[in-house]
Amino acid sequence: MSLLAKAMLAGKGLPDVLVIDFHVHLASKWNTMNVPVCDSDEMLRLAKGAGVDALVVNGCIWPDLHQANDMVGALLARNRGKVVGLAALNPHQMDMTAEAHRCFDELGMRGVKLHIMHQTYHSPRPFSSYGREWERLFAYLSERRAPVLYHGFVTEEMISAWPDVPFVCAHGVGDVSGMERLARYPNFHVDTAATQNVAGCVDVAVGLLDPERVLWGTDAPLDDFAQRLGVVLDSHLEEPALRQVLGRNAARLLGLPAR
Amino acid sequence: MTHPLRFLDVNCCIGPYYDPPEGHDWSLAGLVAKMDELGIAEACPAATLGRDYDPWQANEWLLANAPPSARIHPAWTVATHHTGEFPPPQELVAAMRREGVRLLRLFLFSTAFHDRLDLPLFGELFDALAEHRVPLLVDSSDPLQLHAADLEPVIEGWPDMPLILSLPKVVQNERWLYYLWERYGNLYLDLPGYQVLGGIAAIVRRFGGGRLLYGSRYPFFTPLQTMLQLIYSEVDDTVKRDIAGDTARRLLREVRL
Repeated sequence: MSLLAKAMLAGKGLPDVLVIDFHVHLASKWNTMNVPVCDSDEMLRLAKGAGVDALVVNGCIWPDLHQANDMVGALLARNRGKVVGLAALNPHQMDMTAEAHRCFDELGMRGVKLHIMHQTYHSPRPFSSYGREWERLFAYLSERRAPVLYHGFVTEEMISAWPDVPFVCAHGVGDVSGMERLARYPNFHVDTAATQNVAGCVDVAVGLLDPERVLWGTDAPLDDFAQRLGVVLDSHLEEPALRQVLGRNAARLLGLPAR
Repeated sequence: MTHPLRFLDVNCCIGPYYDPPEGHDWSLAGLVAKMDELGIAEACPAATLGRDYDPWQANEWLLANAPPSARIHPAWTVATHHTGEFPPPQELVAAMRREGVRLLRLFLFSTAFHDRLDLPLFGELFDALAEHRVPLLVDSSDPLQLHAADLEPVIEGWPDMPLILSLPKVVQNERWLYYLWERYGNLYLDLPGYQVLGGIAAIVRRFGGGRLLYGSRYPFFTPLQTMLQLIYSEVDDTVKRDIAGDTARRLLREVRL
């Protein structure tokens, strides 16, 4: 067992480790489960209690994404250094590039979140039909070298075509065949935000992608910070690799200072 | 000692299974080594054979490979007896008495002996378990497989049979879990599938600390994840001790074979 795991088990948290949760939602209710923590300030307090230094928050669950991005902007304005914002974008609702521009320049966000749940059986057209809009967005993100946290939809062609855009596959640590297929793209990453993380999944992911491309994430407030730390800490990684996964990789992608 | 809690793992498995990760030791020694590493005091392993192959052969494997001890309380896989593939309830109880088994596990998987809680089949079995206060861990492969309509007749009809529910993931399920917890005292939930932030504290505030049990879902999950979830939850130390193991110890102690 690593010294970091021992410290966590002893209730001491991870005081000398930079811990950044790359996959966090604005705290809110949600149809598919009872979410006890519906207040983002309360979520931040719980994160601190589990030894988490910063949350990378997106607003993709709230259906009005302009408003959701404003809420994320307000949260990070109140919590500089503890919250990093990702702009939730959706081609049905907005000019995605203009919204990314607004979120980055006016609200201080540092990346983008895309979620396939915004494409439903009622959608007027599929996401993939917005070809020019995606081209413009990825060109803009490529200039900024801004990361994209994606759940579904992003294709191998996109990852290959935009090598300066770091793509982070949400919940991707459990998708071994996906990691095997996409490992050859240095801008492909995965996070650990999955409920069915099998024992050893972080070792497998690091074996396929190297420690630089696996990021710790939780899906909070839908999932628990300490629980997800256990997924990473009960691995065979050496401490430098653990530190990369737990926070340094996120800091690098987001342009934040690392320690 | 790395933490002050005496964990008792009600949900773990040993023995061969189809898809172990490379290097995984599925023997009892492998489980005990993991318990020693993380500081888990006791465990109730079932045999994964009961899920993937045959319930009674799983129990025979467990008898041969994981006899009861101070730290190991074997959990037999249970099934219905009508086809003759599994002993009738009274024979099962006699064998449990003989072998010191105090916890049963029912796998509800599409590829297991039973794919759903088909209540008419289980009446005689539940009569016997309730008579002897034997806890039954119901391991469901699909979070949306069970509903209040499936479970209420069981916990209402056999109030002396503690029912421990294990779900791979808790999603809409809490809507009916709260309904059932408001009405019945013999329904418990184990933790590995219940991963929501602040969830332990929310359930404890509403129903007290007696409804949740520590389990790991080892070897499929690392036991550490649920341990940390409990250690860092915002409930008092007495409640943590109950969830970590004291409630499960009480349930095992109350078995009358």
